[in-house]
Amino acid sequence: MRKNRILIVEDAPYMREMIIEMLNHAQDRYEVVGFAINGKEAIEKYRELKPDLVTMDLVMEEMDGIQAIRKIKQEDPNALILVITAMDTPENRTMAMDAGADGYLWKPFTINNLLDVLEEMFGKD
Amino acid sequence: MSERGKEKERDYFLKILDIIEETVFVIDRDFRILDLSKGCLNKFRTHIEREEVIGKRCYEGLWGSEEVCEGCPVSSVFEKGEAARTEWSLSPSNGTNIYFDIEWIPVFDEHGEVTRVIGDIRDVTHRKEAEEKLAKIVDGVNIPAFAINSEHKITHWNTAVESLTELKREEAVGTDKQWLPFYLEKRPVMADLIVDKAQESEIKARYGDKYKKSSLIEGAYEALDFFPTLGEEGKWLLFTAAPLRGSNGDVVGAIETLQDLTERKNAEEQSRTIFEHVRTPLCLIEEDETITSVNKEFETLSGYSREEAVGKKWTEFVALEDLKRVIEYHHNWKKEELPCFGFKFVDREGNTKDVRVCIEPIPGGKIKVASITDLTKLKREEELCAICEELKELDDMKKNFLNAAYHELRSPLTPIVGYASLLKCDELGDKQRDYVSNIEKYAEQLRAQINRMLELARIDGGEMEMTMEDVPIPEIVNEVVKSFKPLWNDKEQTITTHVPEGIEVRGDKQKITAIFTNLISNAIKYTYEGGRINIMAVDRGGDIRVCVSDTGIGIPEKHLPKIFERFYMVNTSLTRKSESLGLGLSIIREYVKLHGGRIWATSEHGKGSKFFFTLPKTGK
Repeated sequence: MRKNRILIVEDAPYMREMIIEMLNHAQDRYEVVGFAINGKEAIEKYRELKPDLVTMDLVMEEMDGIQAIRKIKQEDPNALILVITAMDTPENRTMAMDAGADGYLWKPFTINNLLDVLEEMFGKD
Repeated sequence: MSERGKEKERDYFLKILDIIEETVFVIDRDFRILDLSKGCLNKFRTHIEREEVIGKRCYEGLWGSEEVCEGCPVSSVFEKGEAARTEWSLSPSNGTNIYFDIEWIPVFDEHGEVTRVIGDIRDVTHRKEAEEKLAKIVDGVNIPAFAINSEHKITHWNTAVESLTELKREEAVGTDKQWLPFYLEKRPVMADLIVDKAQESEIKARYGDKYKKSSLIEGAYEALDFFPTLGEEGKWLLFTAAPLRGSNGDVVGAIETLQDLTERKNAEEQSRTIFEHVRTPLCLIEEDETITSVNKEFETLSGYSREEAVGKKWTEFVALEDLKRVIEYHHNWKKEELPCFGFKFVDREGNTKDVRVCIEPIPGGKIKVASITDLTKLKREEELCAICEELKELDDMKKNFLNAAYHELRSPLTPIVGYASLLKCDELGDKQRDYVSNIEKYAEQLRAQINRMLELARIDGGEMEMTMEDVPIPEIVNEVVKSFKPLWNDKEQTITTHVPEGIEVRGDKQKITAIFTNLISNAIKYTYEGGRINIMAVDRGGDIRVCVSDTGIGIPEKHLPKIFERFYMVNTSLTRKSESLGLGLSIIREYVKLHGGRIWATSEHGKGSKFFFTLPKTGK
């Protein structure tokens, strides 16, 4: 079975590490292929790696997550993007969804929260 | 009586007629003159003897006319036996008119028949001339004026008074309607009082302190009063009444002039209102520096009442150290244009205030107006403004800081929660598993608390958005009660609900749910094991009222007004055990307010609490 290739976009190193750790518990299904620390880098990495899914933080320097989502979706409407954010306001959620996000995960979250949402997103395909 | 006796009598009678100054004559039914006084002889025709006239008809003998005078009442006097009066004029050759007034008096015999009539002639030329002169004066001036005679009848009513009162001359002259344009009921006007030679006390009784004796005309009075019936909005009139005197000095009438001072009065009233209500301390000062009037702001500034301040010299308010300088200034001003200057103002309490005064003359008078600026107050206000600005900035800073702090507090929660969940994926002993559960439990509490703080920060920032929909109350109550079932089951509490089916309000479902969640969870938390909790909703027409009551520990009365305040915590042993920082109630109060309702509580310490809130059905 082919593993789903995941790109992590997150500016905090400890968050990147934790998400990698969590995904390691489902190594049979997911493979982290790279990470980016801002929106601009995310777009470059997306073009380069063509991942199956992107986890996207919203608050980052250089280019924020919303802009990055818009750009990626514009280039590849089939891209799957999971927003992981602490800014859990209804407005933020609407903004992310309008930009084209496919899933939404609020911080803080447990390993089960993460794996459940991923399973749901890939299950939709 | 004998013939001789009659003769004697007649001589005696003629003597009298010769002596008296009156001009009288006696005629019979045929107008023939029987007798006449000497004064009569030369009155109308010169160099004429009594004998020439006696036996002639009166119109022939006295004024050389061939026909009975127009309107002669003599026949009627003979017929009816009643006296009559006529007024005639003659234009003799010398050109000056003679006006005379004749009273016709009947003389009766023993049978009551009129046998003769006495004509009593009075020369009224002087009076007539005076009246004509008066008419010329009254009608010629453009000041509203009228005159009345000794019988209170209007004799003159000029054009100006016509337009002032809208009473026409034709309707006025000859009547006693002089009161009509001015008063609602008949009463004497000033002219009437003058004609009646009223005592001053009577005038005072009528006009109070609005009248004064005229300084120009002897026996005249003037008064100023408001007449609401005149014009569209009433008029202020200055009216002056003066007596008209006959040649012998008797009062034969009165003339009254009226001056419309409405515009001037209104302007005065306006100035007075401005003077009184302007937010600057003002006082009027006379040439000798005495204060004659002050306004309300001056009272506030000085601490003296109006009555106390009036009569003082304004320099009494100057601090000793400034007095010399101020007097110099003032002295200089008398010579040239002047200016405003500053000094230390001493108030009633002896406190000094820095002020700036501008003294300006009022045109047309000797009075000056001094306007004072309280620099101390100005400075204090400026300082207050600055402090206010600073506070606003501080508040903004506080909000920004708290908002940032809450976010920063929450960030580390993510790895705590995440790694705790990762830890549980490994093989753990029972103890370790308990530890991890505790970490998760308290991390969750921390998360909830931070979220509440963030919620309040958002409410303060006005960022709260309402998603309005029809919210079914019974369903929400059931859901919330059900969600807490493990808790109240554990404490063996009984929960009853009295919520009528079908009650709905227009509101934000999430927030209304939060209100019920908070109140019900508090009730469970603060009620002992085995206690009772009741949730009741009443449809009151325009709104619903909800009551969540419990048999818990209650809230001491002194804390009741404050429990909805932020971070307020009732310090009891039970609350110390609890985790709440007291934010829950302040959040739901904001939610209730956002819906346009209100929330309050009653409690009996040790017996339980009741929380009430209302929600308008139509939403806000």
